[in-house]
Parts: sequence; C-alpha cells; structure tokens
Amino acid sequence: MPASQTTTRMIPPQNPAGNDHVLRALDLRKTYGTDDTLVRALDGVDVDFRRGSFTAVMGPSGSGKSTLMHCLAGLDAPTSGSIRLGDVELTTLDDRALTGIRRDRFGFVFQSFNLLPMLTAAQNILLPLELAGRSADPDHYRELTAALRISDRLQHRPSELSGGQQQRVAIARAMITRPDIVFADEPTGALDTRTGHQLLAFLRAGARELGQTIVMVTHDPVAAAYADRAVLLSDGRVAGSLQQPTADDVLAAMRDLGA
Amino acid sequence: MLWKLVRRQLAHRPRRLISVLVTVVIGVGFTAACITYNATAKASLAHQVAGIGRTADVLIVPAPEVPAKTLLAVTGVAGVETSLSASTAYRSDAAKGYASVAGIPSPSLRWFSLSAGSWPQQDRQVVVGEDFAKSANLEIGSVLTLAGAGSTEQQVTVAGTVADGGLGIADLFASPAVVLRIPGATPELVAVTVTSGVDPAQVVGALRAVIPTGADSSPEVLTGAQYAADRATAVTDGSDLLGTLLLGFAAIALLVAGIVIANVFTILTTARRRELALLRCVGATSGQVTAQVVLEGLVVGAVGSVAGVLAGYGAAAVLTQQLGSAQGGVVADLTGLLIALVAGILITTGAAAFPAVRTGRIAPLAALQPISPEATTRRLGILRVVSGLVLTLAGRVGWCTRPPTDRSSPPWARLRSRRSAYCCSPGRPSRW
Repeated sequence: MPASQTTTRMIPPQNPAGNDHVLRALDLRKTYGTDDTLVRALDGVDVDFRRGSFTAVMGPSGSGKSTLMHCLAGLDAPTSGSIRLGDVELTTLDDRALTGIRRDRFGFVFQSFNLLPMLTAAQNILLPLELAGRSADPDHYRELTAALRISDRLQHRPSELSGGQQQRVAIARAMITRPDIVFADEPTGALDTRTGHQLLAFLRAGARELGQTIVMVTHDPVAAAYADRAVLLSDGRVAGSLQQPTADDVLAAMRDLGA
Repeated sequence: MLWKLVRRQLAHRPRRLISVLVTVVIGVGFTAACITYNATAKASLAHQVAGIGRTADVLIVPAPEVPAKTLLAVTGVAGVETSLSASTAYRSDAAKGYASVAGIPSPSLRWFSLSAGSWPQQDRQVVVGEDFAKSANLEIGSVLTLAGAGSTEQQVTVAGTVADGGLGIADLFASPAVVLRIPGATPELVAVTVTSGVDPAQVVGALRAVIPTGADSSPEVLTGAQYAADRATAVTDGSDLLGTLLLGFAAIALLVAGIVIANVFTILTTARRRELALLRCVGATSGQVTAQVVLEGLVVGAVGSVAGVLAGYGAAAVLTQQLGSAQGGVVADLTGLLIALVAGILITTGAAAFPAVRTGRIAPLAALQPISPEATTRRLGILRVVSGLVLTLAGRVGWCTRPPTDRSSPPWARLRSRRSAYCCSPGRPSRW
C-alpha cells in the first residue's frame, strides 16, 4: 500500500517492536443457557490478528467459529473476556458506539444476502459511507472496483449479478471505508468451486496488495489455504495455529482434532 | 441519506405499500367526504333559508322608525328598500284560502328566480311561488281576488311563477302598492344596498349610529351574510347533529385505517427483517433504521392523504349535487380538509412508528439468520383490545344518546322537518 494511503487511514503507527496487532481477544467466553442446558460456545479463546494479515478461522461445525467472529465483529456480546481494537475495548461499548465501529472500522462479507436488493451495486458499495454521511474517495473507489472487476457492473442491481459478482460487490463494500478489519463469514459458501477460488484469490490480493487485514471464517481446508495463517477452533477453544497452511496441512490438523 | 434510501426502497417495491396507500386514501377520503358533505349541506341549508340575505348587502331587522332619507344619507349607502309582508285571504276560480304576501323586491334584490311567465310589469300583476301555484291551481294569467275587509278587496293577475328551491318563500309577491292595501301589512325589514367597493361591515357601523337603540325591540343592523347565518342557526337551533355524527364516523374510519396501517407495516418490516438487519450490520444506527421506516410511512401517508382529500372532496361534490343538497354550491371547507390531510399524514406516520421502533431494535445478527416467523403479535394484540374497547364504548354512547323519536322534541323534530336540506333520501323512515 502506498505511504500516502497509510496516512489517510489515520491508523496508529505500527509498533517497531512488532506488536502491531489490530485486534486482540483475551479469554473470550460465550455461554448460552444455564446450569443443565449450559452450552459453552466459546471457552476461553485467546487470539490476535496482525495488521495486514489474512487469517482463516477453521473448525468443524459447532466449534464456535461463527460465534467467535460475531463477538470479534461486535455483532454479538461475549459473556466475558476482552476484545481490544487498537485502544478500544469493544466489550464495554454500547450499541451506538458498536454501530459506529462496525460502520467505520469493520467490513463484512457474509455467505449470502450481502446486498440490499433495491440498491445498485454502486449504491451498495457506498452504503457504509452514506450511513456515516461521508463521501467516497473516488480514487479508492475506482481502484477497488477495478481490482474486483466489477467496474462495468456498478449500475446493476444485485438480482442482475451473478453470485460471484455479488460477493465481489460485497468485498468492495467491506473495503470502501478502509476498515481495520474485514470479516468474511464463509464468503465462498454459496459459490461453485471455481468462482469460490477466484473470490479467495481476490481476498488474498486485498490482504497482500492493499495491506487489508482479513479474518475469514470457513470450514473448507482449501479456502483456508489461501490465508497466511489458519487458527483452528474446537469445542470453543483454540486448538492450534498453522502458518502459511496448505489444504493438506489443514486437513491433517482437522483430522487430529477428530472432526 | 435516509431520504435516498427511502426513495429507492419505495421505487423498488412500490406494490408493497399499495395496501397501505389504499387504506390511507379510503380513510382520509371518507373523512374529506364527510367534511365536504357537512359543509355543503350546511351551506345548502343556509342558502335555502337565507332569503334576502343572499342579495342584500346590509339588513336592518325589523324596519326602523327612521326615514329612508336618513339612511340614504349614511356614507356608503347606495339604496334602501323596505320589505313588506302581509297575510290575506284569497279566492280564485279554482280555490280559496289564505296566502302570505310579500312586496316584490327590486330586480337586484330578488333572491328567487322566475320559473315560468314573466316578472310583473305593473302594480296589478303578481308572481306566485311554485308550490302555492300548484296548491291553488293557478296558471299564468289566472286572476286572484285578495280579500281584505270590505273595500280593500283587490284583484291581481298572475304574471309568473318563481322558485328558489328553498324554504320560507312567500306564497305571493305583489307590488308594494298592493301589499300596503292589505290590512296588517307591516314593514318587515330594510334591505340596504352598499356603494360598490365599500365593505358592508363598515356600513353596518355607520347605520347603527343613526338608528335609535336601547329598547328591547330595537332594530338590529347586520350584513346579509350574518343574516343568512343567523337564519340557518335558528333553523338548526345551533345544533350540528349531522356534522358531529359524520365527524364521529370519520374519526372511526381514521382510527381503523391507523390500525390496518400499523398491521401492514408490521408485516412488511417483518418480511424485510434481514434487509434491515443488514443495514444495521454495515453501520446503520438503530435510529436510522427506525427513521427509515417512519419516513416510508410519512411518504405513503402524504401521497395517500393528498389523494384521499381530492377523492373525498370529488365524491362529496358529485354526491351532494346528485342529491340536491348543494344548493349553496359545493363548499370546500379548507380548514377541515387541511385537518383531514394532516390527520391522514400523522396517523400513517404514527402507525408506521410502532413497527418502526421495534424494527430499530432488530439485532444485526438477524441478517445472518433466515427469516424467523417470530411472534410479533403482542403489541398488536394490545392495539386490538384497546381499539375494540373504544369502538364498543363509542357504540354504546352513540346508542344511549341517540336522538329521541318523539316528535315534540324540538331540535330533532325541527331537523326532520327540514329533512330535504339534510337527509340523503327524502323517503327515509322517521328515525335513521
């Protein structure tokens, strides 16, 4: 990422000592129900994410990976523990402040239904900025839409776009605010294999070329292989972490977890 | 920003809100129709009983004991005419009986119109009311003998018949010379014509200054419009039963419309749950989501209310003309219609506000879940119970305070006797 863009993002300067975590969760717990019916979705998760990293959160279904993402992204409140976004402790924020964080500092890509049907692709992309009452940086907008190859689809409504195009529009919307983190929840879950790979390649390029921090939840080892790091979750706990994983590594690690 | 979103939402799925729109149009339309019908019927009645109040600028009732010269000397007075009235026995070839006789006003003051024949050209010619002509079997050219005492008997010829479609018209209009020869003829009132360009209200003040006051029966000076209004009030005894009744119905219509709108908006926002939750995910505050739904209500309410007012006014205009209750012209009660418009907008917006506030509380996570048919009926249940109670109570009250059927009861009996001015169909049963 060019230096000029780094300054406009107004992010704190990276710590020379290497402590450049954007988001850090400590002893995160989330329980549902009480006593007999108690379910520990998250059971003391410690995890952190470096600036510019592309992390895959892996785990079998029921391992708590979606819950973890919801808590990290301020969509759900953990029962206890701490989530720090830079200097901000998310767990103490009220709904209004969390909304502002989601709008200005987070981006979201969901499995499906990412876009508002009555808005064009362009309007969907600019939605977070409009909600904040800000206007887009035209250069950034052009670069993003060009990189995601949706420049010629911008005036179309979601119903006129293919699934892959819709997901790329969603990525553009997630990145338009230059957020600290983009959360992607099974972003390829509703796509065919080939389109899914294209999308993952876009995400990886976003992380490497734009320095965008990305946290992706997936159960697909092949998808996880696109990330710099895979964090394995099992029964609400972090069960391991793989650097520069391959699909085989992830598959093997998952097998070890008994999934 | 929100406006943009609302506009796009409405443009994207306009049909979603058609049921709301129709509800608003019906509710507001009915209200506007009631208001217009009421105003028109009132004006029609006032028109019918106004008599000379329609044509005279200023009236002095009863005629003062002041020479016409004095009145004419008042600034702004252009003309003065005393209206005479009398009652006499008559006989013709075909019938005999009693008739009320009035002096025929000069042409500019005639509030009634000729329906057949011609206006009198000489003293011995008269015009007769249509009803009287029928009951006395008179035709153009018929000769009538007005029987005074002894030598005051005089013969007159019918030159024409007159109609004003109204009430209280004299049976017979004759020249002042004829009326004055009838024993007991009295000057009823003085009709004053004002110099063109002068405000009649100013002349009223000036005239009061030259007319002796103090005694109980001292003459009253008032404008033609006031005179007409007073007559109308006298006829209805000041009560506006029909108006109150109609406005009650209109209020109920608006209330029901509000309930339907709240219901439809609840359904619509439930169907759009994921969409609105997605907005929350990407950074819309709870207030922004609420405001979006409220604004949708505002837009639909405004469009529907404008259409409703126009439709209601149009329907009432056609209806009153068809029923002959627009004799004073179709009256647009602008204040009333504005109230209907504002009420329609407020009720729609208010009805949308209930589901809107609930929608604002949607958790962003709902965007990630399939639509759950979550029970959203509790608040509506309360609304139903409350509205049911209100309507039941209104019904009870309406029943208990219903107009008595007894003929001797003054306001109602009077209203019924003026039925032609009020009721929709002349053939109505005695209680409606």
